[in-house]
Parts: sequence; C-alpha cells; structure tokens
Amino acid sequence: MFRTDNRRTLNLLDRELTPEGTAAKVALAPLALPAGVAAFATDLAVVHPIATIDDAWDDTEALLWRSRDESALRRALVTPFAAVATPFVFAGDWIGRWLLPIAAEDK
Amino acid sequence: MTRSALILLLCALLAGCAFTRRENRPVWNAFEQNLVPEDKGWFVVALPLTVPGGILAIVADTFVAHPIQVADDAWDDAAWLWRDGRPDFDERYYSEMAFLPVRTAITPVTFLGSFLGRSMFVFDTEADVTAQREQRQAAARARFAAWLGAVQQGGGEPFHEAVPELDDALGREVVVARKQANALGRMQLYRLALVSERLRALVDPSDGLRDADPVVRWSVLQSLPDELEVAAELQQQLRNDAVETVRLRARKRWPEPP
Repeated sequence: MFRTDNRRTLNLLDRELTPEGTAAKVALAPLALPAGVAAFATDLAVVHPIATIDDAWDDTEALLWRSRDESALRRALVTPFAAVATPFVFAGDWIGRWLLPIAAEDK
Repeated sequence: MTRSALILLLCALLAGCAFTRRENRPVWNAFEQNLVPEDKGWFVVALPLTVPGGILAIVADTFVAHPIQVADDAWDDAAWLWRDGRPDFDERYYSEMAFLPVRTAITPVTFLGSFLGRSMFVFDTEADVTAQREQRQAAARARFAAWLGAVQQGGGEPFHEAVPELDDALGREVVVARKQANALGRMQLYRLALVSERLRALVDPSDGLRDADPVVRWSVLQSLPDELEVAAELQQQLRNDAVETVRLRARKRWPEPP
C-alpha cells in the first residue's frame, strides 16, 4: 500500500471527486477524511488483495508450471511436487504482493 | 543507585558522540576558556574545583545546552513531513485526507526521535557535506595535477581515477603534458581521453591513431570504443600502416569494403 499504484479506490476518488477550490476542500474535509480512510481500508483489505490474485497466479504458474525445454520424463517427475507446492507458492506470493510495495505486472 | 549511575554514565557516553564536535559543547568551551587557569601551578591548585566544575559543564552540555541547540533542527526534520508539496491536497485530496491523522501522529514522534538522535549523536550538516565534497574534489584535482606533472617529466604510469573537473589552470597543464609527454605518457593520455569526456575536450584520442609511435597507435586502436567515429581517410591510412600489428588490427576493425 506504500505504492500509489496499489491504492486504486483512493486514486479513483482523487481523480474523480476532488473538489475545486480551497473553500470547497475545507468544507468537505469532515466527510473527505472518513471517506479517504474508508477508501484506504477498502484498498488494503479488499481491492488490492483481489487485484493481486492474477499476478500471484502468474508468478506461481511461471515458477512451477511453465516448461523450460524440459523433457517429458522430467516434467512428469516434477509435476507432483509442483502440485504440492502450488498453494504454498501462490499464498506466499499473494501475501507478499498484498502487503509489500511490489508493482503490479503490466498486462 | 548503581543502576541510576550506570544510566547517567551511559547517557553521558552517548552524548559523548555529539561531544566530538567542539561546537556541540558550549558550556564546556566557556568553562575551559574562562575558568581553567593557564598557569601550571594554579592549574594544579585549582584542580579540586575545576574537575567537579568540568563534570558539571559536561552534564549541563549533555542535558541542557546541546539539546537546546538541536531543538530547531529536530523541528525542521519534523516539519519536513509538512513541506515540499506535502500534503498535496490539489492532486491527492482524499489520499492526503486519509493519511492526515497518520501524518499528524508521527510528527511529534519524528520530532522526538530526531531530537534525541541529534542530542546524542553527531549529524553532518549541509555545510559539512559540502566541505567534505569540496575536500574530496580538491584532493582528486591534486592527484590528477600530480599525474600530469609526472607525465610532463617523462612518466608513463596510467591514471586509474576519474578525471576531475578541468578548470583553466588544469586545462593548461593537460595541454603542456600532451606536448611534453614521451610515447608512454602520450599513450596514457590518449587512453584516458577515450574514457573521459572531460579530457576528450582537450585531448583528441584520434590523434593517438596518428601518433609517430606505432605502439601508441596500436594501443589506442585496441581500446577504441565502437561509438567513437574515425575519419574514413584515417581508417584507410591505418589499414595501410607500415607496422603490421597496427595494419592487421585496423583491417580487423574496419574491413576493406568489398
């Protein structure tokens, strides 16, 4: 959440709902502060974790399931281990991408 | 009692870090300048008074004078959270509103941390950093000037550092070195010019490809970076060089057009 890119809801509010003029900003402050905190909490607890699922899966797939000129036998031997490791790698990557300042992958 | 004494001693020792700077101990300086006798006899006689007085000065510096000195710097550190475009309500209104309580909460923490740190340890000011940088630049300039002097005197050792900024005086030394250097010195100058844009403004490395000494020509040719353009006429001249190693190297570098 230290990266601006990872705060999608807050960025949306900043972009679309920022009032013009200082007076309007001051007047809106009592609402904007809880709205900002709520948007940040939403980003932290909901939006960003969901948004990182595909990146975490891409990482897991690239690490465990993408073949790098491997023979069929080697692939067959590795597959059970990859299957066992998949949930752990995925969960670790997902939590890391959720909580650490890691940039989202460009799609 | 022992624990309190240890804590006091520890604080004094930590403060000693800040005490390495003379300007951080105003009470001690004033005490030493005004109340410690210069005469050796009186100095010894006054020791029963100056020793406790000195300790008192150190304690006063540690817990009162130096903390007062650094309070404004600590405040400046904390105020950093609120300047240089922070908070940016124009571009990030809701983000800044969300972080406003956090920013407000960490301001006194920042002040306190900076205040304690600055009270106990030495922090380089911007002037210190500038002075150190100028000192390093002067030393680098002196080393380069010494190397140029050696080249002027017939030396041929390579210079392994970055070429410093060339002011007029140093530029003149480069020109003199270029004129007076023997083949080894010229080779080192040309090779250095190949990797230093500053030196290249005064020493054209392609002159090394025209040098009278074939080893210099070969050496410069060997180190010539791809991006450095060499005139077609000079390429042709080197391809037909009288010395075989130069000729072969040039032909490898610039093959004859079919």
